[in-house]
Amino acid sequence: MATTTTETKMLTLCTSDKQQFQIEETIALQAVTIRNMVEDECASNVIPLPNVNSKIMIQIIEYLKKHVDSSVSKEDMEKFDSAFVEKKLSEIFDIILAANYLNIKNLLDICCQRVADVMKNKSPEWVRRTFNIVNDFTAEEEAKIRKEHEWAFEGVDED
Amino acid sequence: MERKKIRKIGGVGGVSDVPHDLAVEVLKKLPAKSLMRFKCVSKLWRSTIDDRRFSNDHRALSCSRTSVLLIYPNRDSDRHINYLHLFNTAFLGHKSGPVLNHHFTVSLLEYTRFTEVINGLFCLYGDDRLSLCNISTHEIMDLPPIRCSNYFFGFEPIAKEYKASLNIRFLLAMINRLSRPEVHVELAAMTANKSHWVPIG
Repeated sequence: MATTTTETKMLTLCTSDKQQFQIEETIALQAVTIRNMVEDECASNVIPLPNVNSKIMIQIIEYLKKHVDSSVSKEDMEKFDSAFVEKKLSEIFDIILAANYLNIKNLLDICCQRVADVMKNKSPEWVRRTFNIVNDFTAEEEAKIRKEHEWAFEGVDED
Repeated sequence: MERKKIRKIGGVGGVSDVPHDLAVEVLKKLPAKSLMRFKCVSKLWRSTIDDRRFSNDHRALSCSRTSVLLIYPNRDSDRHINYLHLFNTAFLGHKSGPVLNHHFTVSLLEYTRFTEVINGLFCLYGDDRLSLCNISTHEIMDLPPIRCSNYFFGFEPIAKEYKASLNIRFLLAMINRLSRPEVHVELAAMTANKSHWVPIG
């Protein structure tokens, strides 16, 4: 990508691992957290983002660059989004945390939807492992809940 | 010898460590069937899924999607409904068209009729039986019946706004036609929080 105009205002984002990313302000401002920091003038040229590492930042910038482009058709944008979330779940969770911190609603939405699509037919055990949740029900309590909602356990994926 | 304890607090050794409020954002996007299954994940998850605010958010999101519900009653010769087959359209992404899914079948021998569906709820009734069915969760709740020819099922949106203690408020109205319907029309109603009939009108 060639550097075009000299007019374009740039922002520097500094990630948790002290990597600096120079991006156009219009791209960065889609993140409400960054917009607020810029508007409140509490950030100078360099915006510190201590909750996001460079690996995730690269992906978020890729997302923001696409979404700032108003010439992209709705259909192409949906195509981009569904390709974008084709990642390992652990990576999606990292993006969810970053998107939540940076306040990028649509990105948070598509990532949560991705997790929901993956877990939709999974077992409660799979969910506990994935979300690191300790089962605090007694065996009797759990059996009772399972019995009340027996139909919901039909067609569950093998772990 | 000390018993070995496996501790998993704050996501040690796990795939990820997602705060509960973000897990809730994921839960909002799941179908009701998955939610019913995930009630047994933990006490926190169960109370989240059972929470009225959560079910309202979940319903609002579900309503924003296009979906069609079809109810097909399978009657025997005495007009009793043996089975009620419910179908819904599935969402397979933006590109593909809707697909008709068999949602579930209610096996019912004590009902002869059913009401229209409102907000995913409808009533089934027969001579001595009246029940409320939640299509999403497959729950069927018995209501005290009264002798009547027709039950109507309705929803009162204003009261829902102001009665915070109710999950989904509904209004059941019954018209009891006696010998001369144009003269004797009795109305009674029942609401979700009170399971008895109150004459109205």
